[in-house]
Amino acid sequence: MAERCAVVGVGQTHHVKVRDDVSLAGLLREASIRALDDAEMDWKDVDAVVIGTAPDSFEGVMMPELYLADALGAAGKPIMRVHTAGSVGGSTAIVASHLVQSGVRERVLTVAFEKQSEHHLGSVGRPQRRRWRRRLLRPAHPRVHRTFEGPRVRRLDGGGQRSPQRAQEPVRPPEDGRHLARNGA
Amino acid sequence: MREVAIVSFAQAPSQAAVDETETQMLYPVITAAIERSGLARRDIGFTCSGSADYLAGAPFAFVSNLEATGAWPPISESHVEMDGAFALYEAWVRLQHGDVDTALVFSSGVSSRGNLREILCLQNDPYYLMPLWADHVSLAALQARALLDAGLAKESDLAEVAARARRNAQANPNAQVRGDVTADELLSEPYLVAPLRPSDCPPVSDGAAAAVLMAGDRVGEVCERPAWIRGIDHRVDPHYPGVRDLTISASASLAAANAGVANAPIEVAEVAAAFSHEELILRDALGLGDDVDVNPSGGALAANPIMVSGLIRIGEAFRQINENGKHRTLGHATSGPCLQQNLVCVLEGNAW
Repeated sequence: MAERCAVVGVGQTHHVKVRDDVSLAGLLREASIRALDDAEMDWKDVDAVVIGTAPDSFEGVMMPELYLADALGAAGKPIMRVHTAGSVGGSTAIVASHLVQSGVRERVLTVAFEKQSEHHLGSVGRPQRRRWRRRLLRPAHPRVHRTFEGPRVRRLDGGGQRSPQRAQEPVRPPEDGRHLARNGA
Repeated sequence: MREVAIVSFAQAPSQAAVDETETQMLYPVITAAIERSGLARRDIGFTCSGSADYLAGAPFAFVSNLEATGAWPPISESHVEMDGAFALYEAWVRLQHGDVDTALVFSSGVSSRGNLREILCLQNDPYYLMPLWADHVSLAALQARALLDAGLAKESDLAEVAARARRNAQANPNAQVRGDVTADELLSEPYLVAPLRPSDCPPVSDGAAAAVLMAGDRVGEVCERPAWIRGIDHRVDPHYPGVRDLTISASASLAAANAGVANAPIEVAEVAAAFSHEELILRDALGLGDDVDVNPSGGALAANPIMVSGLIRIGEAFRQINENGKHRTLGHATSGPCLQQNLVCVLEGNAW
């Protein structure tokens, strides 16, 4: 290894069932600010950002580094997104450490995250969860409609309408979800 | 930095719709890239891939793609949910460590099984932008409109780019859209999303590509004409199109400066301009003069397998050195709406 690499600050959020007081970006910012504070660093000290989550459909956001770039102070910097299934938290930190060990970057912010409450697997009852797990894990489906559930759940939970009853409403056909989302508020 | 070269590249022909899975598409492509490198599978020290679950329509879709690498006994491997060009970047970083000399990079994307104009909406801010269903073609049209309104291009300029892409693609057996057409003919098309016509937009493509990277003294043993990675960098712009000047690409300019594009003349540039106006923006951002041959393959307007298109650009830039005897070429990849993130890779042949 060309360069040595040290962890100089860490931060994490409290893990709870639903964090409906923050957005996805807000959740990552919370952990990032704690890590930066721990390292006595600021956003401007960061050379590159590496994020990781798996799979995208847990939040219903495809390639979320694009949306999260602003909140993580990445504009004008490189941002990467790691996806190695269940190992992704560790793999994300490994990719970040490689950037330092290679000598390519000096200071890298790395964030692994899940906000499963914005997805049906975290917001439906157990029977539905089993049913959806089966559907989600069915390989090579010719259509991708079921992966649209993230926005639907956000729609049901959003706009101040959130309640346990709404959140546990049985899953509707995805077309209905797209209809709801497309018609706005 | 340790000298790293691309020593082989292979791609599947881009097609409008394939029956195969991504894994099935990848198997012959990966096999070809490894065979052309002269290495054995077991000689690969690091493997990195790029793909997207939302194209395959299943979470963890990339896991089955590893079947195509022969991942037994266990291999050192990583995956990015990004274009394969970013997987190539991660492999280049990994080879800098000095303990591993070879890397396999591959990516795959089957776009035909869903509706891209719905799926790519999910790349947008999920709270404020995504519910508008602002699809990638409409966002690209906003960028094209900004360019036209600023007086930096005319619709006929866009048509010239689209026509040249189709003409160039006639010589590319892997391209999907080709034809001996003129800009005037394309200008007679009705708009798809004004000011973009269908020919200003990329085809929906299924495809796969793979490359082998190598560092150190062994490069000369396996490859007569390697393409050395002289500079590679990627940078991202803010997500919201409303906070950017859409007539320029600040992130592409920054990546080009960091990759050392201007250090010597570029002969051929392969840029991942999926829409015709993007090529005009990128020419400016990358500092490519009129003497640079841009997208002789036809580029992303002729074949645009999402998640693969950027790796193919770098692969085509490699082929210009490896097969066509060029000395200094450029490969570019992009990600996100309106060219949000850009990667620039400068390649050079052996010193004369």
